[in-house]
Amino acid sequence: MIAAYDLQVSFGAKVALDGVDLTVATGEWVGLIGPNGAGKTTLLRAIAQMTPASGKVVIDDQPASALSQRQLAQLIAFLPQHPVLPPDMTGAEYVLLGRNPHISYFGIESPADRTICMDLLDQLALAHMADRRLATMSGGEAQRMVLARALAQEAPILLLDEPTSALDLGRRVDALELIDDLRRERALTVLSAIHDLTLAGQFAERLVLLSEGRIAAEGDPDAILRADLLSTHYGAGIGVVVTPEGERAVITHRRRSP
Amino acid sequence: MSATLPGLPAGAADQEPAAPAGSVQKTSQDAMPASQRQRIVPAATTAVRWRTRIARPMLIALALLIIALVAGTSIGPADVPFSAILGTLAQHMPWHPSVSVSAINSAIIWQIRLPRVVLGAMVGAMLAGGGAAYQGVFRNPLADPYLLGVAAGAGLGATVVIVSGGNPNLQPVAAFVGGAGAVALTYSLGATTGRAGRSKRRNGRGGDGGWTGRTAATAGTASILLAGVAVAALLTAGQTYLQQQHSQTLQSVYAWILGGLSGATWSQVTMILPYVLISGAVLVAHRRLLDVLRVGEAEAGNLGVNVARLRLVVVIAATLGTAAAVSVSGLIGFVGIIVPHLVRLTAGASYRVVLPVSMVGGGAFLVLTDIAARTLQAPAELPIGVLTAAIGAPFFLFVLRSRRARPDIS
Repeated sequence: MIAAYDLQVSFGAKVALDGVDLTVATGEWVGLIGPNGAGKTTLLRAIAQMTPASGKVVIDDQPASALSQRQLAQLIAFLPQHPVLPPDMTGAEYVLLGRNPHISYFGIESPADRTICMDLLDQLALAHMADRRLATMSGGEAQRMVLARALAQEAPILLLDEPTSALDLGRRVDALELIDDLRRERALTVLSAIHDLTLAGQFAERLVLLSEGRIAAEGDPDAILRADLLSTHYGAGIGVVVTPEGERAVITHRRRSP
Repeated sequence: MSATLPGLPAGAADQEPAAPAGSVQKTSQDAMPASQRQRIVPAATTAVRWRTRIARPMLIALALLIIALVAGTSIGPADVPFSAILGTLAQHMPWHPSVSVSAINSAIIWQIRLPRVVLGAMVGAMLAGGGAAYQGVFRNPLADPYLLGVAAGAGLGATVVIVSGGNPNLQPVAAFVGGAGAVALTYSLGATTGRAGRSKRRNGRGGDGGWTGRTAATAGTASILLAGVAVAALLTAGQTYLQQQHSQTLQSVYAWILGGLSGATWSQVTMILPYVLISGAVLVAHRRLLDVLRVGEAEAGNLGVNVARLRLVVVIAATLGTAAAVSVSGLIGFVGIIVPHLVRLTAGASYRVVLPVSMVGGGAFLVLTDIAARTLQAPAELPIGVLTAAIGAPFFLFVLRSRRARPDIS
């Protein structure tokens, strides 16, 4: 469970977050949407205690500011938008890094840590790439490696910052599908910033629309993905179409002219 | 593979065309050459290489070190037979068989050559290990053991003693205090600057925005490195000024700055031994955490690493070892850059390999260079720092080019 109260972050004169209150229930998937610079990344970083913020963050009933770096890493796994992939590291070595919050300062990985990582590699169809160097992996493979490393933390909360922005359309759906399966299987709490509104509406159970550092709207995807609301915050030219098969929205983009 | 999730067919979609995994997965393992087998066996935990292998590079480094130590003890103006080396070593064991070694050979070996090679190995180990640690903790391929001002501070300390006509025995102490003090100054200034600048800095998105984790006081890498440049410049200016004002001692100041191992004694060995042991042990103990740091400070923080504390501890350990080395050897350049990168290029970038192998290999490298320094123009001695660069740089460039690789400093 994540609860954030009155989060404020400013970078010099620029106010990046201006009093955000947000709760994500255990096992829930909440999608953060909003135009560039709305504060999506800043909100994720403030929750993960990566950026100084005023206000309060509570993780599973504990104030986040009172948790050590290690305790935080046991509760929250954070997937950055552009993860650093050391080119010479093998997939196995990389996924094993995720065990760090469970290993003592001078400790070394145990066979149990390796088993956990191996099971994850199996589950994510990465086992055959365990010995490959990260530099030789495709975008989709590296993406799954990053996800495997995050899952190796065995943290109940997953914070995702545009997890699929580097992938093509097919891989994008695959990756989100995988995260959703894992969320259901492990009762993970997921808070993710997603640029692709169509996918955001299909995967997240609840959407939070950020605009200029504030929550402009939040609720059911159907309630948020409305042409008027999106056009107000993203600028004109956004349409919403309901698919013939179902009720889910597809977001269309139109040129402003002609 | 049986547990593969729906939506992600096992390795099918993302396979690189050259990778045989998808197509040969069901083939009998025995029918394949061993080189392919390891990559293909998917679920066998034992087949996965969880760590960069250290045994082979370490054995090579150890062999080089032993060759260097034996050669360094054997080679010199006076010929000493190998049996004399063994005999002399035996004589200095607590209980020893009666061996006869001529007094002159015994003296040459025990009083002159052995302390020199042992001291050289310790200095080389500290410079190379310190370089590897600095490179890891600052994630900068150009970081060297002198980065934060050790050289400038030690140089100033030694110069002060020399120009003031102080007891030469004070030289190493002054060099050590100067070197360690310079790093302390750099670190406190850089850390303060970093903290003051934090609140104003823009949020670097993703990767390495400069944020180092918690809101707790952490100094940005760049501000520490810049403070190091400034402190080094300031102390070097002071050292040059003193040197200029006391030109009658120019020769000895210059000799110290160039560095060298001539006149090595057992008392120098025992003086720096505690620092070498502690620094070496602490650095090697941090090998796994330095591997976590390879994904950058922000992500290492997300993985539970207290980056500021890790950096402080590693810098203290590396600095103590480096300052101790400099205090007895003067300023020997290039070892701390070249040895760790050679290890990376040939044995992989994992700090579990780079740190210990650099230490052993650095010891071997410096002893071998020292042999060249005292034999090439015998009876005169070449400055060893000139040779570390003159021998090291071409060799390094050769490896760099032949591997067509970029050093993975991550």
